[in-house]
Amino acid sequence: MKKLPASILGICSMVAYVHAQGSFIIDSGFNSGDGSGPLATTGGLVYVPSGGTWVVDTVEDINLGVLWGTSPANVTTALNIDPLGLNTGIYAGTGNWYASQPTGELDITGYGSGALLDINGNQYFPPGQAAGTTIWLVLQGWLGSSTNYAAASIAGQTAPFSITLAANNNPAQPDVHGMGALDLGILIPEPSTLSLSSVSAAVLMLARRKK
Amino acid sequence: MKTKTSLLSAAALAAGLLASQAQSNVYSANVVGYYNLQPTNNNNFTFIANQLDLDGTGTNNTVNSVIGTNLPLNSKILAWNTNSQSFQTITLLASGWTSGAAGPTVKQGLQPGYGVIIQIPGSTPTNITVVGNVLQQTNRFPLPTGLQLISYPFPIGGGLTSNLNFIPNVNVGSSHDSAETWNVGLQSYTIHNWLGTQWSAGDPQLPIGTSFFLKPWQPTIWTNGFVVQ
Repeated sequence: MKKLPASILGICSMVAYVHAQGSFIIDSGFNSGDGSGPLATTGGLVYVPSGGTWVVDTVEDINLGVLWGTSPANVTTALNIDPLGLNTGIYAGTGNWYASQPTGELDITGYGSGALLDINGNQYFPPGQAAGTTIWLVLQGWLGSSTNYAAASIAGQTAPFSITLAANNNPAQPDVHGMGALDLGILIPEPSTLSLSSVSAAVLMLARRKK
Repeated sequence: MKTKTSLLSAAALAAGLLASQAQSNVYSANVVGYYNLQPTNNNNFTFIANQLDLDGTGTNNTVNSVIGTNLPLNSKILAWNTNSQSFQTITLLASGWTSGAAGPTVKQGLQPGYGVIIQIPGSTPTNITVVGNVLQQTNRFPLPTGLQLISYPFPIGGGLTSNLNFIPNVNVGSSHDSAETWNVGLQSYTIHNWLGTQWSAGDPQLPIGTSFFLKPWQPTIWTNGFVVQ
């Protein structure tokens, strides 16, 4: 007879586990080296343009926002990644990380490898999503003092990528190392000798035609 | 995790007594000791506890005084925030341990009676020697409802109820206390439910230097103590 309460308790525990609120962390420290570069679709790092090419950002903290959704086609809901309300001034209540605030401090320069670090080490809970649920994320990064991604002049976002949420007390929280490359800004290639020659030839031809 | 216990109580006690006698006739029976923690690596998790104290207050232990920085870079310590029911994590960088909002939570987790989780990257075996005073007192440890990451506040191991004096709440209907101990080999929890007279999956075994999750269904007090005779 003693087996019955034990079984019931066991089932209750399993049910509680299945319905627990799911969570994840923002950390991509597993991604190292250059990965597959600025076009990486997984294992990506943060890149910034420099001298006409993409370079891994190791020296400049970034501003970060996170969108989430239940399918790759609807990753549109902003997630509050400042649950402790650490941002101040014009950044208070925006729910993003900022390089100049206690939220985004060291988010790049912590690892110094192009991977993301959460200085506050929080877990994040997409509302209404149970542990075991797969959701999709888009990370939006930008530089400068803008309070939001849309208004930033140097910005970029990842392609949607999936994570499966864990129970809150699971130490092995899913992180964002499955992200693609986060390329901030627009690459303006420096003119090569060949391209300069082509332009010169075109100009010359136009000039001759006019004659 | 292998935990090697080497309390130097006798020698330390003798030394403490000698020192005290030389200065006055008041005896100060300080017990100083240490134990070694060998947390698993390869980014797996180990539940650890500091059961020794820096200065006898039980409140001033820090990540640097308990864990130190002689660990692989990017090692992590996870502490449980009982209010938010979530982990907060600090990371070992070249400049030292991060702090941020997680710092105070980790500090709380490193006081005797609480616990933290450590995650070590790489394959090199790691050893942490925990050194300090053995708190000597009768401890009344209030436990609210909800999950909490705790430990026995003295360097003694054993069964939670049979050796460490935790008396679970009386079950009412389906309401019952539960404990979650971490199986390092499997990297998963063993869940122990209080069945009224015994724990399912057995009395939670807590070696020295180990923390675990306890979830009382109603507030309770864990009364325990350690006094040198």
